[in-house]
Amino acid sequence: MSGPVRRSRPRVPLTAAALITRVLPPGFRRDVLGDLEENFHMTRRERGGWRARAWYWRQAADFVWKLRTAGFSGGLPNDPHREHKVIRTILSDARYAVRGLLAEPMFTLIVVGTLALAIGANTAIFSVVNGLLLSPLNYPDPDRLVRVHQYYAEATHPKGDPQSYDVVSPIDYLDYREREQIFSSLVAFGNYSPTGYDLSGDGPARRLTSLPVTADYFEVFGTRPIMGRVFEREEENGESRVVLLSAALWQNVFDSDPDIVGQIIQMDGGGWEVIGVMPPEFMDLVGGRTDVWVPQNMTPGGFNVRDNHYMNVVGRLSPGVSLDEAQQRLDVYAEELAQQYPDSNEGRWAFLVPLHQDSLGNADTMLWVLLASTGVVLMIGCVNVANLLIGRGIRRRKEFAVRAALGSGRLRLIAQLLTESALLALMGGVVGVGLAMALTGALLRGAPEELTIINPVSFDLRVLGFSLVVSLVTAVFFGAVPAFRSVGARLETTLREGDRGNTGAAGTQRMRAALVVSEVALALVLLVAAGLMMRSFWLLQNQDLGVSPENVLTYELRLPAARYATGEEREAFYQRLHDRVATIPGVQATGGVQWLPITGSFNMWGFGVADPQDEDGWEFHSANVRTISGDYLETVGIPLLAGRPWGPEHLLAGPIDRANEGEEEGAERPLYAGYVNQATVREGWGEGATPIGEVIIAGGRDFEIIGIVGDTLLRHHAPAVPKVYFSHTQFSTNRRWDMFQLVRSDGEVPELMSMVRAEIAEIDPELVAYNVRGLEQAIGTGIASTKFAMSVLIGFAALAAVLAALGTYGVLAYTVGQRQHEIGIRMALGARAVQVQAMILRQGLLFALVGTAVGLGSAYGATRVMSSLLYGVSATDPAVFAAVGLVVVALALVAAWIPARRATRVNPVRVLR
Amino acid sequence: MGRDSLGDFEQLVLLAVARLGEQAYVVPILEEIATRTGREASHAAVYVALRRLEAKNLVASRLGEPTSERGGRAKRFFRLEPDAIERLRESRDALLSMWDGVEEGLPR
Repeated sequence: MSGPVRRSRPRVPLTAAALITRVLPPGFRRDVLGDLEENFHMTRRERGGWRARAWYWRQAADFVWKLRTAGFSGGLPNDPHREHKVIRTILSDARYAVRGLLAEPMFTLIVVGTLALAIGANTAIFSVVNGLLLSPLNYPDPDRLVRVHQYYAEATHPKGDPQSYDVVSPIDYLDYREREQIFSSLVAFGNYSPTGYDLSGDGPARRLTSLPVTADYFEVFGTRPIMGRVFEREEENGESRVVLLSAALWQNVFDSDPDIVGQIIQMDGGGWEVIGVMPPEFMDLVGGRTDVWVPQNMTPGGFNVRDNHYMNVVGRLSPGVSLDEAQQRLDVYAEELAQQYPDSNEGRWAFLVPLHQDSLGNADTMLWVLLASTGVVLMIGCVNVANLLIGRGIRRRKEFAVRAALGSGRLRLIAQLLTESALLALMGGVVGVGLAMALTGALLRGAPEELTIINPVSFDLRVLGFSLVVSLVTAVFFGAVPAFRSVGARLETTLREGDRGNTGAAGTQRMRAALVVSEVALALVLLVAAGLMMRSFWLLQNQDLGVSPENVLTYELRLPAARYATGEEREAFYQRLHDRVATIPGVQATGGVQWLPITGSFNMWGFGVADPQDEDGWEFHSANVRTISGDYLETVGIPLLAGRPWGPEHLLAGPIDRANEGEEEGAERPLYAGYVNQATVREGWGEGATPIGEVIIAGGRDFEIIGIVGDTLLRHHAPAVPKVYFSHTQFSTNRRWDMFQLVRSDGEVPELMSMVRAEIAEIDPELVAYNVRGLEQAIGTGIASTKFAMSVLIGFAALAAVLAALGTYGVLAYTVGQRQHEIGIRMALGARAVQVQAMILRQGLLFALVGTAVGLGSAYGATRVMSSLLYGVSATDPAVFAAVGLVVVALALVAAWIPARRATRVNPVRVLR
Repeated sequence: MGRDSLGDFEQLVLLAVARLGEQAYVVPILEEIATRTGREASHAAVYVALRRLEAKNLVASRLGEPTSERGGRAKRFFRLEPDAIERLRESRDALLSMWDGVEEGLPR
């Protein structure tokens, strides 16, 4: 190759020049450096380069000595150059930064956007987590509040597992309440939510949600009515018609009447005296949203017996008693009760759970996983910003080198870059704050309701500060790195490098490659988490529930005690309702049930199966009891697998309740009829048995099993448990069964509900059908939290994937730019476009493969923490891992493809000129 | 505060500026001093002296055109202010009158 031999001009020692620049005031730098350089070249010509350099260094030393060390600051009186120096410098740096950022709008947009997303998402999620998880409950001394659960020692689930929890027996509660060395106060309230009353007055009746509570309620939660008084223990007698109103009800329905206390309101056709109004901010985590509080009936007898478990119990621990001590004392007491009342209390224990933990349930794992995922997003965001800033630094190395050579001090360059980075971070922060506010709102709207009532969630300033600081530090640090690196570089080398090879940038390139690899790995962890949640959700949605909820409508109806006092009257009503609704054209079946399927455990009773070893003995198990009316099983699609349907003969057994009357030994006991599900058969008789005709004891009655029906899941996340179905026809007098009503249609009845309402009005115009919704919707809430966690994780994972792809693209695009010369030579020598493309794609693939390997390893360790959120899929599910790995590699190839294509467009003639 | 007298080096710098006329900037000033006195001063010393003199209103400066020899930087040219000439004369007069008649009596 011929051509002029380039001989570079010898230059002054740059470091010495930088030293001089530092000590000189700005207005004099250029001419002094000019003088020195002129003299340097003269000296070099006369005495040689080595001596010239030595001379230059001596001059520099003298400047430093005279202007700094020797006390001559260069700042003479009235020196115009020193005045307002700092302010002028900052202003000029800011102007310079704005110009620089405007010159590269795409870069600025991506950095600001990335920072904003990272800051916004992090702040929003942390605000929610902080509100729900970290902040104490909104009650006085919230740490002293405990939830009391009972459980059977023989329960299928281990102690401490929420699935083993049982509600509390009212008589046990009355005994616990007296244990002052355990509880300073202890409240019980009815578990039969949703219950309520029809409030009548002017206009149509209005349905109210109600919560029957014992008098201790107010002391436990540390609240007082804003006016009026609380309940007395004497009012827990089932006869006191006194009521406390919620602030919302008082405001909306009673127009904030200041004289409301003492007035009589009509609920379910009876008069109730208002004794007070609760504070507006009061929220009961266990009882839920409530319109009216009424006294719980605690009179022993009837349903208040030791082996009828139906109460929610919350206590406030006695002063100075720790949770462990309370639990120990309760265990001792449970043993005493078991000895005293072996029939009901043998093997029955009580279990204390801090109320905060209890109300979060499984959600705390979910929130922690979401929080961790935002941390990962923040990390990826920072890595990406670092990468972008380093890339920009590389692009500008020539500029820095020239400026350094011209006498810009290292500190000045760094200060300018810091100003620029700070400006970027500030813009990212401002947009991020806006985003955080919007996201916090959106998260709360999307979150499961049971979470959002725990604590008011407010926008968290501390975490906003945290995110801002993290991203600021990132931007500022990586923004300054190029300044540090470039100042030491030799101008010549740098100027040459800018056009040709990439020798000096190898270290920087390695650092960028490492950043991209870590980005890919982090994104992969999030993608795996999102993939696992998606798979869980898919499995949850597609699992066999045991019912077919399509085209089934459900609503609630309450028969007021005043007009429907007896079981016969209620049964007659349901019978008429069934007959009328069933005749609506398009309706296929209709019926009622006391608790909807797939919505958890309710009304758990013990049931006895004749002991095959002992003629008079019974083996006891527990089952969820459902009282049903009409064609309930057909309506929800539970199949009758063996036996026969209820016939007229079963209705004749008669609603005679002699269970608690202590009938004589050998007396004729009425025989009722019941269905059991497959889980009951498995538990009582073993897999494959057909106990049709067998007799079981439940609730003190004898039941003949007339049919075996299909299993339904207990909840979306929980398998079927034993269930026993009784007919309301035989059972109406046992208690008031508030029934959910269900109607299955062919799906082509547009005004079905208004037709049902019309039929109800025909029977009783004062009744209110409320809470109307599709069965799918009613039971779908069980997967709401999975859906929520999944949606948030998918959002984060997608964001992470995009950021990682951007990072890969950025580095490869830079590489292509750097290697244009080389690519030009290759192409001039006959390399085909495909080969050049493959070269770039290979590099992208390398990033992806290394990142994937690291990421899969990390995910393998990290996803275990979310196992409790998963359903039907292991935290290390190979299919999900493999799929995500493939997605990441594919994504990296797409990101590499754009620069690879650009590489093939390199014009050898142009780059080699 | 009265006028402080000119220092020895300051006088050399002022005289170099006077000798160089239009072409007085740091490099020839240093050369002039070196050629005439054999004294190798540093750039820093001249710089400090000139800034002091400028502060005392004895010299004024202007920037010239940049040249490639100087890495594209401009020269800063200096010229004497009227005061400077007066002060230089005063010093010379003071020295001469002190020297008057001394030369003959000194051992050779």
